[in-house]
Amino acid sequence: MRGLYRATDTARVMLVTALTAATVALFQQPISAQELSTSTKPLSSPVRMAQQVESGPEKQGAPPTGQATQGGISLEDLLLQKGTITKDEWLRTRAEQEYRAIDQTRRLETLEDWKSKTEVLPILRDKINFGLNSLQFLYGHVNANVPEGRSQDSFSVRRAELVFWGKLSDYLPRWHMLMEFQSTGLINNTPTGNSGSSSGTPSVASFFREAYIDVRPVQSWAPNLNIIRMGIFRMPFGIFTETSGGLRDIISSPYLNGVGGGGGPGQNRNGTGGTIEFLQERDYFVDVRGKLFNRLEYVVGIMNNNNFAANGIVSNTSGIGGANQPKAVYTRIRLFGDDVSFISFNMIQGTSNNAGTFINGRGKGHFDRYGVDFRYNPKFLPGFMAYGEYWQGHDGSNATTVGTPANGACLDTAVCGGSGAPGVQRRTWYVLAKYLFTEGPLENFEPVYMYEEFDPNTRLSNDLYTRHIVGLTYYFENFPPKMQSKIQFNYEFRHHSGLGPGIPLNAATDPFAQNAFFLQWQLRYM
Amino acid sequence: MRIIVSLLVISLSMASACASTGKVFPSKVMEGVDRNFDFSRWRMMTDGAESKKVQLGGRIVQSQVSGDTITIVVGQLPIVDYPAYGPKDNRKNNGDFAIIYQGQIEKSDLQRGNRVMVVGMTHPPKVITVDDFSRSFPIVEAQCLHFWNTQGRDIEDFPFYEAGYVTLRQETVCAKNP
Repeated sequence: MRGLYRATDTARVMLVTALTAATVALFQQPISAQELSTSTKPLSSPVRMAQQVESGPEKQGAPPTGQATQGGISLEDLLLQKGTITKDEWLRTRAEQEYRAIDQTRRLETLEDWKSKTEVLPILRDKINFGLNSLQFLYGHVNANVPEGRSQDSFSVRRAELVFWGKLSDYLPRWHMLMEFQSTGLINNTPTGNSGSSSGTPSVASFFREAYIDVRPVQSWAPNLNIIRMGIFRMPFGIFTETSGGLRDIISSPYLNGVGGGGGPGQNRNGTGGTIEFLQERDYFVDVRGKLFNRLEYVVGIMNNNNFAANGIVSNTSGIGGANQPKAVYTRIRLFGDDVSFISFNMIQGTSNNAGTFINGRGKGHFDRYGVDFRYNPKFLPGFMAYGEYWQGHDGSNATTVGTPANGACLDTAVCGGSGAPGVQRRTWYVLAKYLFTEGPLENFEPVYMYEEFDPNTRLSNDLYTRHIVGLTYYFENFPPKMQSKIQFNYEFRHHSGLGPGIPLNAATDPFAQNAFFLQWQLRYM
Repeated sequence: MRIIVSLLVISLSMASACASTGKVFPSKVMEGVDRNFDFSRWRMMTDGAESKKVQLGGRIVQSQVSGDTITIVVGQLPIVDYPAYGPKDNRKNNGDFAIIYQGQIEKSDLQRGNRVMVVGMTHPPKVITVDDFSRSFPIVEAQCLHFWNTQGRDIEDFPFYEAGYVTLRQETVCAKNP
């Protein structure tokens, strides 16, 4: 009886083995043929390569029911057939294989689940991105005399800027925000009043710097009409103004963005003192940007002309904008000689206000700026670059320093506050040249030289600001525009000839009349 | 003011005179290019396909410099006319190919993610190792190459790039003996 059972068992096993072998052999045959075909002509066909590559992940999935030998029978089947393993061992092996297969399938399903969840994450679809625009640590020394309790030397975080951006669709190709974390303090505005009125009180925080939305209304109009941009951003006024702080070649901002103040002489009747922001770096605007003939880039827009901090004085619900209404139009036309060298013509026309403002050195009345800028980066000497800007323009009368009460254009400070200065024409220009060594012992070093002048009142003599900057930059990592880690050293030879006739200048306490040097570390990664 | 207006008029005239369609290769190089070239079909059937002169665009995946021979593995992208002329990321895996160029190319042009366009002859596939993984790539032997130094971004993102204005550096190179 026992012998009969054993014979039945053996017959069943043999039947299963034969069936398995036949099935495996049937399914193995074409694969073997393919492998043979591939091996006879290795790597000759991308079709076969693609199949091989694609079949890779499948090999990680459920394994076949047994390890097939050359004859198409699994190893454990063969061992059982030869009596090397018992049926119990054969069953255990099979059970383990099945368990492993189920486990791997479960893992794969989990991975697939995670994949489907993660691949729709906005950060992986270019909808939301963030980066370090610039993190700068600065050591500075200015030779000017300072009051008791202050120092000529300083450590500071110059910029701590995080940038966020994304693309929502072809029609909304860009949104952008930039936060400046090092300056969360409050800023005064210029209150309405005269010289007897109290000074301005802190009204807005400067933490928020940039935010804009790009709209590309018709795809096929681009690049001729590329984008409509609205928000707050670096204004398209020349080269420096529009260059991110993380990509600038010198440490100080040029005089065209800001000069005066900082412990130096205050505002005066000549319009030559106090802080003067000839061109604001940022403003609230709407503009249209595009490129014609693949060479001529243009920007046409309208702006508040009230600087980046002015958002805080707008009442969003009442619609009262105060001094924050759009007051100026601007254009820029930039002609490219090649992909990186150009010459541009800039124009700003409108009015300025001296009450409820956040810009220094502007009066009330007509306002204009005209500028030419150029950049030359020869192909035969790629490490060399030279650029410069020339600007001039009128400010309205009774200019103010932000925070000083002002109330209109009259020149009687007892009535209108402000500086009592008539409208002035200002002029400024600079040239900068640099050379980046790309090989040899000086590799990644970049010497820089810049000269600039600022004339706050072109009708007066003896009021000129001049500055030579000699610098040396070393790049630890230089893949602009995305990455730039560097250390910069600048020495500034500063000169301020005076404040014009009749107003004495104490050059010893004027930081713009004394030399200075700076050392700055910077990281940028996005 | 008059000087500025005069300069502006001169510039506009020059721009009109220099007007180009945005194409990057000389017309002589473009002669004989198969305008109806089917990239996906070529990838599948490079073995038997006859050599053709083609223009292809894409994103640099990897590059290898060996003496005067430069091999660039490129993820193919469609070439579009707008919003900006050149290869545009369509968020699809269109397949890869390899460019072989005889000559010198600046290191910055070969950065991963840069956009590239090539005019050259198709050749049978070769095995190239990318990220320690050997694969067979269909080959284009380059006559001319054009690079956009976008570092992974699209061409249309320039020049109004992130927190400022960045001109997009471009370069065209042609082999001496194509």
